[in-house]
Amino acid sequence: MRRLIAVAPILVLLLIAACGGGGSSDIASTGTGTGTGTTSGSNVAAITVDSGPSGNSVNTPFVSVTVCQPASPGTCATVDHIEVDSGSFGLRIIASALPTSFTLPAEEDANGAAIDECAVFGDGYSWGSVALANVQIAGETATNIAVQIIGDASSGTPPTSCSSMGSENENSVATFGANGIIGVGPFVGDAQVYYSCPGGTCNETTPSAEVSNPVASFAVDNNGVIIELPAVPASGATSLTGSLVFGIGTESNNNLGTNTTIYTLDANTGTLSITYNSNTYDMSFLDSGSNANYLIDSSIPTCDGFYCPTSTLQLSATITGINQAAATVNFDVANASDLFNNNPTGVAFSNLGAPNTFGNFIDFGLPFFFGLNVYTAIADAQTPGGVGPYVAF
Amino acid sequence: MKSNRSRRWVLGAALLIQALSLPALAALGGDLTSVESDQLQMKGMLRTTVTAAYSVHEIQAPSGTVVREYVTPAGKVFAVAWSGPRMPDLRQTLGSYFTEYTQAPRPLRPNHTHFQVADPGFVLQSSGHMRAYSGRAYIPQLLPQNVVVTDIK
Repeated sequence: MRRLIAVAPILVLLLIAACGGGGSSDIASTGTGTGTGTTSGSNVAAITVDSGPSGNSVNTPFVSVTVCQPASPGTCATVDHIEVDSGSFGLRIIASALPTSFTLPAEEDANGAAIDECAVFGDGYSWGSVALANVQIAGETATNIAVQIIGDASSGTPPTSCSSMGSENENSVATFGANGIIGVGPFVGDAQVYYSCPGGTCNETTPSAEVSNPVASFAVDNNGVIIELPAVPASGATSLTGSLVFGIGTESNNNLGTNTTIYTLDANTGTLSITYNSNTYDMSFLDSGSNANYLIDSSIPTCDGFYCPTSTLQLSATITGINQAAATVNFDVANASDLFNNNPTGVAFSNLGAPNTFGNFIDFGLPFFFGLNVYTAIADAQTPGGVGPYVAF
Repeated sequence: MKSNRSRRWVLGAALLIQALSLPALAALGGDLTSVESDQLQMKGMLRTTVTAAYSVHEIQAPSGTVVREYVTPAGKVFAVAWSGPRMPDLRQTLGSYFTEYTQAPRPLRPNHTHFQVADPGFVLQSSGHMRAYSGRAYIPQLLPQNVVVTDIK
């Protein structure tokens, strides 16, 4: 097994002690890293960044995941282009991405009624049934856990209380932008809304098992993940590969590097503080499921939902964990329209920015992850760096 | 100054009495009565604060999610904002604008964290992730004088 060089892609300019037991490091996240994002081992799944099954994705990391019938563990289906999302929890697969002949047992309530779920994202909701599966990824297995099958026939039409929580039911590969999503964020349960639907009438319920982060159910390497992606040049990249590494400090390839700093997260929301333009946003987060760095800055012109400044901006922000550890991050925001026009087959852009039009947060999306190894420790899980939830880089 | 203050107080008292006494109606773009409708729908607590330019009615649902409804002195709901661990019932909160919300064009590039509508008569900004959602919607034409968008939070 190759030993992970955790800090190779990070250009650490400064590491000084600060009050409160934290540290402060300056990190250039502008494509200067040299990491390859290629770690190997039975705890490593290959990440691919491409245009995805809907053909229009950018800055979206995908892995392949295998689901098997718990009662017949050799009966499995492998689904590619499952989005790697550090901002959600649990495995969800679009029903149409599974072979029609493949079925999983439904999770049921005490009366034998099927459990359905309304999973809500910032941009829409996904309705589907909850099934039980053995989830296999790389050499890891989560046995008999709840997963969501989005848009399956048996779940039918979402109840009004579900469809009232979003603009669109993202129940197809085209509307979801992926064959599914694997939420490997810093919590176990997904805290979503569940229903039991006897005779087709759905009422909210609390299921015996909610859809949960599969990593927490692995037999080993179950305290968190590392997302490792190489740096991306300013003009973008037409393909990119990296690694989703399971476990923190559990194998020779997933240790916290000596120059890796831990930023602890709020125990309820998984958020930390990011200061940008002298304003501090307490509900900020690092999200591999966001395709740009979403900032709050009305001075930058926008087009098509992204930032389109007249010339590339060199910006910086300070990330501060609940533990007061702080890092200054430098990053560029280029004109998104020019990026897409000049590199029409580009799928990875380190300088893609977008407006977060509302909210008390900065959302550092996948551009933040390029050229870095970003650790996410699950709440209450023990790691050599302390107890989760935290991120480290 | 003093008379301004007392006018404000009288207005506030009047709004509060209205909020407590009128029957249920719509939401964003609707009359003040819709606030009570939302409160009943959300089984939430209501807190009202009054400024010179508008009043804010805050409802906290049992889920912990807070919805704030911004009401003009004339009693129109010109904006709503929400934050918390569960997305609110937007069909209720947006009222007649819910259809415009669901029919808005999708982002050109898929993402699961942000969605916005920027129609001439209806703006909605929704974002967040599991366990922490937030958003707001407003009708630009109904914003009272001296109220800026950043006041809606």
